Amino acid sequence: MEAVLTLVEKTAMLKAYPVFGSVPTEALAVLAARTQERHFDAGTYVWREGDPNRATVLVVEGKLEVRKRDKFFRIVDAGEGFGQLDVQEGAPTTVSVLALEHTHLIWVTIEELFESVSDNPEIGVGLIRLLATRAQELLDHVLILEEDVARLVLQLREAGIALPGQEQDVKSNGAPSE
Amino acid sequence: MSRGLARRFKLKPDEARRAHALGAILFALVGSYTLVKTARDADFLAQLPVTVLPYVLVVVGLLTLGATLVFSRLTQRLANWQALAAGAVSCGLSLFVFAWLFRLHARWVTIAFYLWANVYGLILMSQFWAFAASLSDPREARRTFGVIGIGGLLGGLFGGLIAAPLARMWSLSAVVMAAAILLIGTVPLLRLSVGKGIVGQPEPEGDQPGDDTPLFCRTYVRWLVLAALCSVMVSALVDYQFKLEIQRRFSDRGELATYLGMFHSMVNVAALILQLFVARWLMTHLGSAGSVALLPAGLAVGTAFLIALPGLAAATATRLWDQAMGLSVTKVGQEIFFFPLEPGLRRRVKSFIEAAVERLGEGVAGLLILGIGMLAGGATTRTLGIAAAVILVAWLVAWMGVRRGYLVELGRNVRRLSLGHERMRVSLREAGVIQEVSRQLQSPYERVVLQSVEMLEENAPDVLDAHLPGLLRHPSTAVRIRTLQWIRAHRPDAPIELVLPLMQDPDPGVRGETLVTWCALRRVGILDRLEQMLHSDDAGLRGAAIRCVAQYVGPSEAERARDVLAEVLRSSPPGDRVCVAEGLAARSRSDALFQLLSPLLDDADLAVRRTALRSAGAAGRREHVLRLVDALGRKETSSAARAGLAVFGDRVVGTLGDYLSDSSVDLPLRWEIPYVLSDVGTPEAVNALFRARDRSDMRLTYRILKASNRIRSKSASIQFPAALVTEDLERDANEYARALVHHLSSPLEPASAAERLFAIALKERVEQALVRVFRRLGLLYPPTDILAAYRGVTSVTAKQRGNAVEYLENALRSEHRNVVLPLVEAGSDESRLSFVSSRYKLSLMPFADSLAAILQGDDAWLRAVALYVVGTRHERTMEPLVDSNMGMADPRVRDAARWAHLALAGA
Repeated sequence: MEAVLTLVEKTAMLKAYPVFGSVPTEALAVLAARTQERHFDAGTYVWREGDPNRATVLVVEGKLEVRKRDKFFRIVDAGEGFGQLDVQEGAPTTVSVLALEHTHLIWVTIEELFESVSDNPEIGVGLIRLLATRAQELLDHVLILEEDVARLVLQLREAGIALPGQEQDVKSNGAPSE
Repeated sequence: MSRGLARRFKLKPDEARRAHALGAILFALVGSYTLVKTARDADFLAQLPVTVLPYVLVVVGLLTLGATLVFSRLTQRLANWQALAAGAVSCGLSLFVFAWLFRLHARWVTIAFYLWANVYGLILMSQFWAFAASLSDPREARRTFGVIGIGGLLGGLFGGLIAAPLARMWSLSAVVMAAAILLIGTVPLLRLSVGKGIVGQPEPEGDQPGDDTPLFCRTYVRWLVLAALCSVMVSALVDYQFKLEIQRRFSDRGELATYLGMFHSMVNVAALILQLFVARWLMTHLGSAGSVALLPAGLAVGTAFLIALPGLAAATATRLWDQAMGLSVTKVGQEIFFFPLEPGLRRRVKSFIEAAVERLGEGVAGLLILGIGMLAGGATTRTLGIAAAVILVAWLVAWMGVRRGYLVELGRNVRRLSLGHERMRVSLREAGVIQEVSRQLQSPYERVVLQSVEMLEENAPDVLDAHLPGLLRHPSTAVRIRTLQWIRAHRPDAPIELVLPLMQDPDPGVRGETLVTWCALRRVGILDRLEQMLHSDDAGLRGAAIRCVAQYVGPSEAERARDVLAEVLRSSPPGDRVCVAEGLAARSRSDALFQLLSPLLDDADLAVRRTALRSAGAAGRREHVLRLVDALGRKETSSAARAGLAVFGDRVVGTLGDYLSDSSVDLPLRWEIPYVLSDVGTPEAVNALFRARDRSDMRLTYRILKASNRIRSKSASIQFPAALVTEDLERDANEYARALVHHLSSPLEPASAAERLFAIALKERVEQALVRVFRRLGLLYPPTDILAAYRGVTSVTAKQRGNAVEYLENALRSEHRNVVLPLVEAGSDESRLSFVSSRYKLSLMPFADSLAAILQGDDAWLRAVALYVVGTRHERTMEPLVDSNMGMADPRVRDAARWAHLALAGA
């Protein structure tokens, strides 16, 4: 028999999710009351790339894999959530989400989520903080990658290996072109 | 003894260490200075007649002014403690020089020493207290300054006790040398304390808030300066009278040193007794202002005796009171008066008062003594007493000004430290700026022109008149539309010929806007022209024509217009019906046309209904009120209904108040009513809000409170019922206490997700109750100050908390202070629990008892979470309570109770 969470249990799960960490529990219960529960067997898609964007999910039990253009993007474990708030509601999603094992989800439609935001601005604040944190993490990654690339380019140049578009520079410097 | 002092003054460990270190430094400083004063006065009175003293005081006044400036310049870039150390070293070395010069027994040495002792002594003391003040906030200062002061008093006692034997056994030179050694001894003490981190990091030097503030810009600062001036003048007069009487009695240097040494000892003993046993009681019961007032009060009594019965006894007693109070109670209280000022301004004001005003005061006192001497044929004790009495009156006036200003400055300080910012408005009052903005109207760029129009509309609308023709020909559609809107709003008497050419504008939006503007300008005979357009295929033009008919048709055409529009409504799309409603909303008079509104209020289309609801407010007809109230309770129309009802104003407040306080009315409707009442924002709206006394629904209670706060923020003149607010405040404080007790009764380390959620929910209840307490305070006290105080008391920074509590202690009336202060002042949960236990008879309980109490309480959400915990913990003993919750009306409680029942059954 598939487990059904009580309102309080759902609230507890939502509260543990960083996006909703600062939302008062009683307000969160209002959002929790609007959510549904869904179960997916291992190997089934929660949604496929191109399906209309309808919801954001929180994993109660199980594991999801997010795939972009059939390539691995990330894993969503129990206690974590996933959604494409950047995509308009009803517009095609840009990722597929696959259940790697039997997965129990809390399902929040985007309409309900945004309605909850207007009722409880703290939810909006939590979303903004999460997005800002993610943006900062991405920026940090980009900076690290830029440094790595610059270092590699320098090493290649010192080794006399030309990058595409830079073969002429190497030949004119007298360095071997191979 | 030090632990005893720390306990007595309720100091925390780090505060105690700091206080003791500073006390030791002050011991050395004051001990040294007492020796110097004894030698100074004894030598002066032995060498010169006391009538020379006033001349010396005048010179001291001028000299100190210069010395202060030089000292400030020299120590500008040094930290407070470095300036103090440098001052101590240089002054100590100077004392060694004077100790050697004393052997000359020259009068010029006596006078030079008198001048120097006065100059350096107070600059150094001022520097010490500036350093001490920079390390603490007002709350800490109240606790620690007493202990620090005791160090100073013991130093004074020590100095007084050894002065006499040193002078008798050796000479005054030995006294001065001992003073020099003590003074230089402060430097290693200071170095050690700073090095070990005992005195911590003072506020950063360099640019500080208030560094740029003009010194006398605030009334409060001017009162402080006046009070200081009066205090110093009276003190100087009393000192002169004292020395006059001493010189009458004693002439020998040794006798003088002995008497003065004993006097200083007595002063310090008296000050010590006051500091240890009286000061705290005075500060608690009279506050800073009241405690400080005791000095002039005592001096008034002493002055009366000096006038009636002049003599050494009265002079000594008065001078003793002046010195003893000045070193103890008054000193601590006066330091606190500087705290509300920004750090930079505080430092400058203190330096100015302590080094310039006080010396200037002595100089003025010197001139006064000379003047009285010339006028009255000699400055006697009696005549000087009369002069002192007059200055005491001025002192009293200044004290009252300081007392009033302290609270205002505290509020400003709390706001500043809470980092709130005020909105700044840009003003274009200067002609040059307006000219420049006007030039921008000719720009080809749409955004530049629109921005310029906005700025001129607010600041210099007349300037736009000359540019209207040009703006109506601007290449940008948005500019032309904006200009037409401006004409409609601000120039109803503009010539129609100005806008007519735009009827042929290529843009349909402009044509529609032109039509509306034409109707607004023409007003009469427009129906015929518009009727043709009512059936146009151009939706924009048709909509504009419909709006114009609804909005602008005159009273003589109203009935015909109603029939025409009724015909349109029968077959038109929703967009056209919206236009009818919009037009009616903007209609300036209520007439036959508003009969069209009723069917629109029931329209199938939501946009039409919403617009009609707003229009119903503009129509102001009572027959629509019930429809508006009904729409208010529906989510999709609540916003529009709110706007419509708010326009009714006080006429609808009574009805809304009835609905609000009727518990049989659906909650979703009652939740929306406070918003409307806050939009109305009148005293009647406040009464309606306070009629609802039922607190069974927390959401409603909070919305009523927030609506009250909004009204208070918009209009400071509206009075709120103090008795009811106080009653609610006490109830919230009670709820705070209950939530706190339950929160502290729950396990420190929750064992499950259920217990974690329960602990979080309880903590939220504690925080929410505190928010409500402060929101209620904001209804009776300045809301911005109370908001700043709330931010301060919940801040992680000790200084912000201290300032906020200091503000609340001074600002709140006693009935509020007694309830609120113990909740926020207590440093730990234990202290708060102690207060809660004594006032509300609540105490910690076993977790199971706490759960049981909550399961029988009024808070539905806590009940639901408690049931979850009971089920998770398999608390079989609570089964009856679980079962009793299964029939509750609240679905959250019912749901959780059912789950808990199954969980217990399965356990």
